[in-house]
Amino acid sequence: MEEQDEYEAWLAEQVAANQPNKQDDEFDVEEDVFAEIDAMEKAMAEEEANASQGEGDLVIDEPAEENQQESFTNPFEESSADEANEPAPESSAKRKHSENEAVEHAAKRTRMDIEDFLPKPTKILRVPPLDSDFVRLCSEEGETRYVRKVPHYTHKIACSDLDLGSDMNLLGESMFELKLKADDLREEMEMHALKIKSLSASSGARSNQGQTTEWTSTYRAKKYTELLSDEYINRTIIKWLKKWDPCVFYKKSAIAKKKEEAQKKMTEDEKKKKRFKQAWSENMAEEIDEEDPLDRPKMKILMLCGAPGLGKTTLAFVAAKHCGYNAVEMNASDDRAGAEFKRRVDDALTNCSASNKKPSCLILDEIDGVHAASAKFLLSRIKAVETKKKKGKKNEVGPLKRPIICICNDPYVPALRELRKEALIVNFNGIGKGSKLFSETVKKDYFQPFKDRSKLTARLQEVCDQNQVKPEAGTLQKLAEKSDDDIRSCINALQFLSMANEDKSVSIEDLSKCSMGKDQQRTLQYALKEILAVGKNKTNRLQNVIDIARQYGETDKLLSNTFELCGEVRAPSSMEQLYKSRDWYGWADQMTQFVQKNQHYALEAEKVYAVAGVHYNIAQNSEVEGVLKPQNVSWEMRQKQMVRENLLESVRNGLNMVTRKSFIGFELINALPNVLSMLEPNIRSVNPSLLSKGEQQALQQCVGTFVDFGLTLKSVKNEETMTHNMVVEPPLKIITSFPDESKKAKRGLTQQTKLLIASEIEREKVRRMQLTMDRGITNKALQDISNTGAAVQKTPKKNECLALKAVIRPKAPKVEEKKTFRRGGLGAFITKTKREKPLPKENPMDETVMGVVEEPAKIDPGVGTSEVYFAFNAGYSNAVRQKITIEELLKNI
Amino acid sequence: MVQFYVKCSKPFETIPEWKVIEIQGELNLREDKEAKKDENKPNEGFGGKKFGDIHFDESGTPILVLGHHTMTGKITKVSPPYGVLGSERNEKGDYYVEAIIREKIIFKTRPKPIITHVPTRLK
Repeated sequence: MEEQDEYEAWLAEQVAANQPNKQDDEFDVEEDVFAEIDAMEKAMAEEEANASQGEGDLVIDEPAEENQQESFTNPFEESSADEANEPAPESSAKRKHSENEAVEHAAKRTRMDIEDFLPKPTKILRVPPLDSDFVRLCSEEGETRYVRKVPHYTHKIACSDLDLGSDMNLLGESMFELKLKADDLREEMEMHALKIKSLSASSGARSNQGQTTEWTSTYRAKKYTELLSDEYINRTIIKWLKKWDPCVFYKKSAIAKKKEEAQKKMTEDEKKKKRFKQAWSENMAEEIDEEDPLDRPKMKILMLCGAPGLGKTTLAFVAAKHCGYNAVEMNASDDRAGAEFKRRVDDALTNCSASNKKPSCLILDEIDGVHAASAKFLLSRIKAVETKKKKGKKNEVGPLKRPIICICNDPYVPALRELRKEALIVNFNGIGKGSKLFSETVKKDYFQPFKDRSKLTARLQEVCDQNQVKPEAGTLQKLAEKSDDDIRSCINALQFLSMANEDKSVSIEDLSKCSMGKDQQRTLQYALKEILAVGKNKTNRLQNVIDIARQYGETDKLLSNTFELCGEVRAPSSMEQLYKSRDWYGWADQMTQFVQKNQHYALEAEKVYAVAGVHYNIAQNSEVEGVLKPQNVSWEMRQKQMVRENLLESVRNGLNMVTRKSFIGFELINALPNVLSMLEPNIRSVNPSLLSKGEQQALQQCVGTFVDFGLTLKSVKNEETMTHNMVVEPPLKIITSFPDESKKAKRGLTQQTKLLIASEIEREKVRRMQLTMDRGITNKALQDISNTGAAVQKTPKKNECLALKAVIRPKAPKVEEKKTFRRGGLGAFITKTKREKPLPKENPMDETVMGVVEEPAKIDPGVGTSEVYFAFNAGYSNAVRQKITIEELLKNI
Repeated sequence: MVQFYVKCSKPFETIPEWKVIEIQGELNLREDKEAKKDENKPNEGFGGKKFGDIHFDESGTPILVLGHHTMTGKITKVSPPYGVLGSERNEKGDYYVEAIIREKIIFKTRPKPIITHVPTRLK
């Protein structure tokens, strides 16, 4: 079809292009050209010319073949030029004969079917034409002429007689047939277009748009007056935005001015009264941080939260526009992680777009999906304080100077916890939900918006009117009810339903068929209540329950909850019903097993029927009252089991190798309760040195057990009593005793004893570590340790001198040093390196004035740790020299 | 001016020759430092303590290793020579010549520290 269309378009183009050509041909005829050609081609055979059906003077028939070729295969211009040579003689001959044999021509003309298909005249030019493509002709004498190239199909068709039966047709079909087909096609398409037109004409003006755009975007509120949300909320937001005026637009707010004036006038007494009044009357939005140097509102960001489809985003945009801001939106579809988020936020807050000189107001849509890191960054931006700009710091960000509006469905997402403190939170709530649960409290709560349902239905009616949708009476009311005041889903449903029906009528029946495409899931609470009670409409219970279960999504959770709750909600009337309901649970369990075993996850959806089955058997007639506590006992139990298993595993891994050996083939868990009792020795809480021998033994045993089982005593701070308590770590009590039992713990060890044990544990650990380390050292080391005494006795010698070698060669073996260090416990350092040969006794330098080392018992502790050290007096020696009298010297003697 | 006789118990040739070591600075005891904290502990002094080694290289230049310092010095003549006297500790208070000092070794260059422990990452 497409090809056909293209072809047609091309055809029309060509026709249009050829119109002027035709005229040209009629007006200027270049006789001399033809004369020349005449002279050249006189000898040509006349039969050929007769065969062709020339028409009038100075007319050349371009053969169809050539034309076809040229129009479709341009690359062969040269070759086609040769072919084109032929028509020229034909035409000349024709011209000659046309006068003589007019009768014959007339007869031939009768063969022509339609006048339109007559061939068009073609000129032969001396110079190449400027205005169109041309074909070069070469005569035998070498002269060149040019012919305009006119790709025109009528010519071809004119020659169809000639072509018939010949193999020259390049297309599979003749052009004529193709054209007929094309005509048919065109006609058909026109008919089709007409049909559509007539259809659309009847369906009204808007529907053309409706095909491409959603009504939700078409009918989005664009002005403040169009907003459907509660006036109070709208005003709160506008007020908050206006609070930014002094900061953003540098103008003093009206309130601030008023306050200033009032303060001047006020006397002290009045002030006191006023203070109370102010505290009472002012709400959060009106609070201004008076200490703020930039006159910003106290709450730096606005958080709009509420169910989807209530118009939060619309409100934010409208309010920002209303207050003269350029709204910059970032939503979940944008990249909101890491550096990209920072860049975008900074851009939005510090720059303004070139086309729109308004200050920007950042609107962060769906902020509950944001990363915690990004939220943190936002918080840091909000808290940024004005600092003096330093030249070196480039990345310094100034304080926040533009309002930020955050929009979310759930303000209690953990990532937003910090942000919430800085935000003015405005709750958007649907009327249905609020009034059902807290009908009393709602009126007190200032921020609980009351959306007038009549407002919503009026808007829906407006939409319907504009689209020629004819809703049945009461449909819109029902629609609003069903969608929980979700404007978006209302309009979506309207559009959907109106398109389904030919006459654009929407009935209540349609409505019940259409499942509301609501973004938010039904709460578990709601779903459970619906399932456990028969409900109001008893007609379509099955479908209703299944719908609810589908909407909630987590069928497994529903089933387990109903399983836990059915006993609580009401006593089963008959055992049989209960039994039947258990059958359904069993079926669901089997289903789960099958699905997980064979991975047929498509079957997972079938489990909702189990919910329906359960509903039929256990639902009570009256509505379920009170708040149902969500039950997830099985999940909780699984969690607990996991915790305990992990704990046990960690205890097992912490076991000493020797201890672990003894637990092969023996359940550790059986031993643990006894182990715990072993950890509490019978010791008085006194100074460890005062313990009796038996007690010391008990202590040692207890510490040994601790270390063997890889347990420790850890100090845990008790938040309530603000005291520290020593607790066995890992917490074995969770495994060994029942929860109630562990609460009323026996009076265990005193804090002091526990501390003693803890320190003993550390000591024992070090002791054992040393033991293993010592075991690792070579036998030689062991020998050395045992022979320490002898080694020390051997080494001391007369004329002990420092090992200079050791000084010069610092590569003294390290191990040796360590060894000697350990032996250092004896109080001496022994150098193992070879000593220099003691200087011969005759050498007078052996003895020095100041101190002659005579005593062998003193062992030099080594270069770095010698007993004597030297402090140099800088300066010329005669300047620092001290004079000492003989008397002073003699004193010491 | 006190005048006293000095006996020469041995023949003059057999009197040993000592050398004086002159160092520019102070000798300190590690124990002294500790003793300062603990006043009960008596100050022991240098008596009998070894304080260093003197070595001579091929050209005869003395090298003193003292504590964690090493320094090079030079030998100079003492003129006139000193006599080292000892007293006999009798009633008379006689003195005798213990030794004669004709040369002294002066260490007046700035001492170079000896580093025994080098951090591994510098190697």
